[in-house]
Amino acid sequence: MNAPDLAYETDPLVLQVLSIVILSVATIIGLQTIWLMARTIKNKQHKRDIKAFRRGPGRKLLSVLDHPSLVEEWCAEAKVYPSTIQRIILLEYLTLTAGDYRAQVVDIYRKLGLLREDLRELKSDSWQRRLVAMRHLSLVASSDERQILLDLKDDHGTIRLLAAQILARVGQGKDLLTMLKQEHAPSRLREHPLRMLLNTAPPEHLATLFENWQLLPDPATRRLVLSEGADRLPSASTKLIPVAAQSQDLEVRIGAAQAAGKLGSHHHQEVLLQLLKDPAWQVRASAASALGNQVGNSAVESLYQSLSDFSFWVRQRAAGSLAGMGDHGLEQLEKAAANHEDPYAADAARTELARLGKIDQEAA
Amino acid sequence: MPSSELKAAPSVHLLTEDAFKRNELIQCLQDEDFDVVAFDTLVNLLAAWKETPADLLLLDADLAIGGGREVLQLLRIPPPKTAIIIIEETPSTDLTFNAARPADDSTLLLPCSKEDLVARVRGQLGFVRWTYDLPMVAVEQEETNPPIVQARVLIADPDELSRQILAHHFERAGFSITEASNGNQVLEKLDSREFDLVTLEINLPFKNGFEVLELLRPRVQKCPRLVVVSAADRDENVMRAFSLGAHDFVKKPYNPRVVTSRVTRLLELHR
Repeated sequence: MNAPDLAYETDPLVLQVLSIVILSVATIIGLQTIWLMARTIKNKQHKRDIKAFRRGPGRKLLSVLDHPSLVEEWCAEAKVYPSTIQRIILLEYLTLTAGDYRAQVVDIYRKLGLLREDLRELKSDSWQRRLVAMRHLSLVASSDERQILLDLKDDHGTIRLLAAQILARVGQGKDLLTMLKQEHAPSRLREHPLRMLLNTAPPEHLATLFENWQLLPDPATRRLVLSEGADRLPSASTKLIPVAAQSQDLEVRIGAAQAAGKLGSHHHQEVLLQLLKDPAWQVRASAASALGNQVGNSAVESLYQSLSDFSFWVRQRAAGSLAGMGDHGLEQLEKAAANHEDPYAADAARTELARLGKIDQEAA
Repeated sequence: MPSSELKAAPSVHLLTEDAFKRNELIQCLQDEDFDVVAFDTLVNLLAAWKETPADLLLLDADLAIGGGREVLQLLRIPPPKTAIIIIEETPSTDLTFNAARPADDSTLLLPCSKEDLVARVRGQLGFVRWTYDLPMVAVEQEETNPPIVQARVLIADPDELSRQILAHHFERAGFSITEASNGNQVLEKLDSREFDLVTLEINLPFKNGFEVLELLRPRVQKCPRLVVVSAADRDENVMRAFSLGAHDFVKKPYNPRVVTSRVTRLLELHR
């Protein structure tokens, strides 16, 4: 018997394809290795440059800042190094210092032509590069750059927000209005920086926003302006709250409730009681929270009734507000927990009492 | 005065706290064969001057101890016996300083060319009568009324640049500086020597600023002034720092000149 022939005859086409694949993979790996090596060399050079700069001009910078007449000489020495290195060192100073000392560093930044580079980068097609330039500008921009920043109103959202933040510092009151007019339904994530912007904007900028509040097209932005600015401009917001409470838009009515809550004045109780009957549960919940900040306890009865609201959030906020209204509020909570005919209201009251440690968690 | 009285290689004492300025001036004068000795603190200059006064004193108007006025008083240079050049970047408007200056002094405004500097030094040397009978009483004065110069300050901050900036300004104010980059180092240094003042960042590695403040009082016999310098400036942090014994809270970012003034004032009050 002949032994079976185990040798396979491989198709030359398969061999050809395989060799092409192997060659391609090897080429890709080789190119990646070269790219990595080039990056490593570049990074090492960058680190060496930073080290050399720190040892040379960087060390002298502290003395130069004490003697402004030496700035020109220092700049000439610093210009020998790449601008990225100069910028890294100066940005370190800018983030760490304040006042006239920082102004001197900004002056050096400008003298070295770094601001010019940043402004050039703002025209880049890549939004990431524009964003990096904006971060630099946020540290060094002055009123001279106002128009350039205003021109960014149609740019990427984050860049626009940074421009608005800078304009709040170096621009005029109407600039913030121009930038915020472009905001459309900011997400919850975007709300935080917007709140920060409104909280840190100078009062005159905020006053311009309040005067032109109706011109802001986006309801969520109007809500933010009203609720964040309320305690900083009480008289202006007092005029706007009743208008906002009548708005067709849910967001604006929430803003009215939040603003009234922040002011805590008795004047807005009527508006809040009206908002407590709003068809939207979000507005009722905001009004229930806001009533908890009111002076006195005349809203206790209304909040007691809100304990039987069909929305969980309204019941929870009403119970929380009652708990913060002193003995009378607590009495009402205990009464509701013991014998409210609506089991959901009783549950909301018991949960709040348990949170306060007045009853056991298990009983709640 | 006749220039023949001058020595072959005139000696120059230079006092400036600015290392950059110091190096530049030394270089210029040494190139012209002057015998230059540079000092960064008044104490060092006083010690050297007591041994051998120089032919000419190059004095920085911008000194942390308050300008050239105090130096002239401490050296007790009777005008017009010693050549003095005041190095200034702007003409001084300090009338008390101007009044204390000798009648024949010369002010050198910076920046200036090397030629101007050398010409001014040569001119000034040729103009002055040379006597070296200068009484030295500075050390005695320090004993009775110790200047801030002697304050020992510990800067605790994980950020090197932040330490450098504060150290530079504190040194200009005459403090002697020790640095620490983490909480353990702070405690070690406080165990090993006494400090007049500690600047403390809250966000220190290993042991944060609050832990250091808590551990400090039982460990150290004579508690230094404690200044918290931090970006963590929320109200609760500030209140906690004060409740743990801090004497001041400086928010980052700061103006180092303002920090130096606050620290100096705190030390003055302590003394």
